[in-house]
Amino acid sequence: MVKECKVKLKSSDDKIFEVDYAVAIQSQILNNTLGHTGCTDSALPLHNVSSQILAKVIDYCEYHVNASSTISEKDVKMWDQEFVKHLDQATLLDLLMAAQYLGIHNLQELTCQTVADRIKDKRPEDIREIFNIQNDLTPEEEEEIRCENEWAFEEEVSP
Amino acid sequence: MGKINLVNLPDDLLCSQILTRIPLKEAVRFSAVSRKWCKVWTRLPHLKFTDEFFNSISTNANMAEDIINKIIHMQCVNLESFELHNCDRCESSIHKWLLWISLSGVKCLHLKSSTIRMQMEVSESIFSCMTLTSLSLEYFKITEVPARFLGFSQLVSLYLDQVELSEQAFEVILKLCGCLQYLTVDACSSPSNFLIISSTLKSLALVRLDKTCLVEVNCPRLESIKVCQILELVIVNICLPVCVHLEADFHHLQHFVTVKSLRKVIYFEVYSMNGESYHSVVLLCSRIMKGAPLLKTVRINLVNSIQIFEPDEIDYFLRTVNGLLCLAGDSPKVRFSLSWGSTAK
Repeated sequence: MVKECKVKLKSSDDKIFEVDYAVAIQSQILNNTLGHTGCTDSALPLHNVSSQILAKVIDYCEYHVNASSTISEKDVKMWDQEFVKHLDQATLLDLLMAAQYLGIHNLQELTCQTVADRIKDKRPEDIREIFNIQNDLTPEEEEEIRCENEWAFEEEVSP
Repeated sequence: MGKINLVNLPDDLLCSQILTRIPLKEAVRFSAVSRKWCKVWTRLPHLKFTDEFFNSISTNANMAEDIINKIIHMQCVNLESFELHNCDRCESSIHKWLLWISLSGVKCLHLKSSTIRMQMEVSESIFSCMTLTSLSLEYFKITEVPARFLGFSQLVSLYLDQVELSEQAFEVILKLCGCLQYLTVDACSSPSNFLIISSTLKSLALVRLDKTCLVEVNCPRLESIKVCQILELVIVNICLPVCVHLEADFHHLQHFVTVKSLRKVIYFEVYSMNGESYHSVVLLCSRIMKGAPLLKTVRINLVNSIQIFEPDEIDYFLRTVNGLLCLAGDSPKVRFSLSWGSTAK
């Protein structure tokens, strides 16, 4: 039974978003909540998701609610790649945490894989630069870590 | 502006969702990024010692065993999954590794040996991994199951590829896995008699078996069955009341055609291996389709069917395609696809 009602969502900064039921229930959390309460007029508060991120989450869910039946798998993958391609690190991580919080499995997969792709094949110093991480290790500490697992820090032997 | 930096990500999320998607070597190297993560290499719930890992160690082969030893020994989280390739190169240590990880509550285990010609005997310690939900073995031999084995009571998925096991071992394992749902037997030289009785099994695949197989399937919950690329098949008893997915060799299809339980089939795939007359392929497909009113997808694989491009062969082929197009025309709700060429794994 497909519900036709609209669902109201409130971001952490008090902005209200209205989405179709089918879009909302892609979130496991919302699916459970709506299962209990049914469609109400009051907005569901999402304390951990800002309006900027919620807007993106909704974009993703709106595309995917129709994608499974009408669009080819290849095209969906391409859309997903475009969706994450130009996201800055902070937005990507916010999106990852929001997907985790809301229980949107395929968005979780997509964002986690994207983060993994961005750290793959990079040296520690590169990862620090890309993700704007302060190097809080003293030279001695860093040396100790490198010695502990020397094999992992060897330069790649070209195949 | 986002408030979250990579450093703020919860540890378990980082370790189980992100570091698990990069090679192990890089996950260990991640320890040098920040003080917060200096011991992250001891908190990896998914350990994958694949070919990539072995190739990435430029020093001698013994180093690999020492490294694996150290990583397993130092893990301070419960292991979710463990994958090890080249088991035959670590034969001396694998016994104790499996015991350690069994204590860690490992759920998914994937072991692969690198010798293809002579299968390695699987370590007895594997039968101590009582918490397994998924087990995958490639290129092994299981001669016997230890008497103390109480079964993998939580095993949901069992995948055997090029595994030689006695009928007795197969029967014992199957009997003692009370909640098995997914079973795949691929290119295993034995057993040749398959007595598959399970009230929980949902999906069964018996593929690439070069012998004559006697199969008895008594699985009332079976939703998906794939019996393909098998030399000779004798089915003693098969009952598929809820089957929605059916894949079979053309020359074994008659076992399924007479079964009333085609009525729930949604997906049907047939493999034509031996260059059967294309006319009979079409005829049989048509019979299956008549008995399966819920059918949505039909796939026909004319594998190895076109060997010689003689005029007769081509003529037959074109008639098959034509026949199938007519079938497709008569059944507008069904999606057809046809492929040909040699088998790939």
